[in-house]
Amino acid sequence: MTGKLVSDLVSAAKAGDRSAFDELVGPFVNQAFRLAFGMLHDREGAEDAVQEAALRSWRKLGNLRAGTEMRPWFLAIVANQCRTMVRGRWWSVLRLDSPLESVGSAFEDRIVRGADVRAALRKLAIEHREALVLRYYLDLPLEEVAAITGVPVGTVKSRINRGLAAMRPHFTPVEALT
Amino acid sequence: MEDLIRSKMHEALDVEQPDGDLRSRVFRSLPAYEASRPRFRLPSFRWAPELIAIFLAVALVGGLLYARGSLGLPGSGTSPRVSTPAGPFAQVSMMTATDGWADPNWNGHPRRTTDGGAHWTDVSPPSAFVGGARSSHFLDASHAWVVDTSWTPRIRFLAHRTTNGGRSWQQGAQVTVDVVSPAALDENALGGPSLNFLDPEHGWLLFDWILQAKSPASEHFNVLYRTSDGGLHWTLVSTNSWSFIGAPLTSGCPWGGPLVFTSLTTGYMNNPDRTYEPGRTQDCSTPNQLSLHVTHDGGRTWQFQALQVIGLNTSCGYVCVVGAPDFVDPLHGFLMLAGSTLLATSDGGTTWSLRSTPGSSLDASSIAWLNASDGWAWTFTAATVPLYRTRDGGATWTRIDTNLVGQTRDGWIGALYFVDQRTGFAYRATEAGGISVLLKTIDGGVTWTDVGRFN
Repeated sequence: MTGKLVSDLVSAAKAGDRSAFDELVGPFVNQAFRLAFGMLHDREGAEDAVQEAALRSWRKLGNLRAGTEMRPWFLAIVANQCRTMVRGRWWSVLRLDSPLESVGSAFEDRIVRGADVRAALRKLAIEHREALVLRYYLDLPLEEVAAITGVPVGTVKSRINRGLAAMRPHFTPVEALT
Repeated sequence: MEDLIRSKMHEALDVEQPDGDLRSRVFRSLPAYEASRPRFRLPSFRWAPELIAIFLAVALVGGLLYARGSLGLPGSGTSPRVSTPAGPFAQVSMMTATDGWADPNWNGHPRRTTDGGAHWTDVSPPSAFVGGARSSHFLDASHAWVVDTSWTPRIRFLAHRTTNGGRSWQQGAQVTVDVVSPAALDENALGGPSLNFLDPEHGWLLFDWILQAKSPASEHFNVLYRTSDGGLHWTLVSTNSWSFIGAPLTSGCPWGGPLVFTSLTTGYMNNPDRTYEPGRTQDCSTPNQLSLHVTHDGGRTWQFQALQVIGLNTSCGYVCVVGAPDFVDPLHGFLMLAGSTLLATSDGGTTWSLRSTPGSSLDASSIAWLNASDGWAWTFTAATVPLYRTRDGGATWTRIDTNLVGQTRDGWIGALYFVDQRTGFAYRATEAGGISVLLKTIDGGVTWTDVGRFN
């Protein structure tokens, strides 16, 4: 997507052209879902967050400044929506002390795998969880994580460090435990 | 190391992928473009006839319900237990072996059961406003509150109170919140209050809103009210503003729900993740110290109270207090810390002492207390859910083998709690917490059966 094309698409979208908006934001919907699921751990909630974020961005197109990068702009709205949803939800219930020893189906295998990491992620402050998901799950550079979260790169690093510190037992190579 | 982290993150989070048509669904749902349309606005006049008809119908039904309720039986006695915050089983609150409440969708539309959870009836009062938000709070089998909040054209709220288990509701006076303008609030972060009632008359209500214009560096604005007539009238107690995104933090110390009051003067609020942020200039708590956020003047002022516990290393650089204090009466309470550490108090929270726990991965939702002595804790794998029972306030624990399965295709065991020595409830929830099945035991936790289902 060239800069000229983006500006044309933005102009068209501002004029009410949904297909232009789809071209602008659509390529990031999958990443938006992954970000939302990483923050919310809830499939339906993640889809709702993406849908709501798309609606918000559609309504806020008029505020979009020339030259704004679309991905951090859209993912910032998604992240903001997720933070709002997390604040409105006071609890989560899933815990798993140890993985199922012998799983009998692909479903169980899929769910149980990584359950300890998911449970640990849920215990993080949402800002730390958000930083880890953006950096290590969406594999975004620190500068873009900073743009999405709206804080300086140094703060992003601090959040990642604190998040990793809390997650350290889950990120330790197996051989190091023996 | 970074590759390992990425691999672990993908393993944990790739369990769900977006549907192939998510993109098309998202864009099909977009309305005609209308820049900067407020989310919570009054409907346009073209709907006026329909709205008037709906209003009249609601008023008629509400009036009939109110009249019927005014002739109903008076409410039953109240539980001696301190009203604990809306915790892990806030969506389902069984008050006795037969009577309970549920707000399964978190939307302030309570349902009521009188047969142990087999059948549920929507007993919610009619809404006072068009749009806005609703919150609910359940004190005991008889007393509950639903609070309606609206932001247009100004911020208003009012409480509905029932004293007879939802058979009738009394609507309180409308309160206008004039300490902040609705235009100053982030329209996408508007929400109802968290509530806490000490007894049927005395309660507190805390709003936590986000101010707009600084998004995503959210700045919070809190408003705390109290009532002494069961929610019919509310008095402004205090306000607060703070921000946890972006250092240095200069605006104030963080507030947040849930609230729990143990007397008319002493109360706690829980905001564990944000008691310490590097770089802040405001001294809210002692850095790296365990602390509780407490008031001793009914909520007018709040302080961070350092926890000095003999035998406990109180150095903590991250999340230390993982749950609100769980008070079983005005003096006795329990507090879970990170690392499966359990504390107990017998002087209303002034001093705390260490207790043992039966597992190494417990959190606040892992332990349920019936009183200062009797408690249950659970640790579970996907296959089994062993319970542990204490009769001495956590000094010793005895294992109970149960027939519960931690994980099924329908979800996971979310929480367990007991209403008397033999009767307990649990629910099986989806990973996100959506309740699907309520389970019950009548033999102290050994055997559990399905008794109700939520959608």
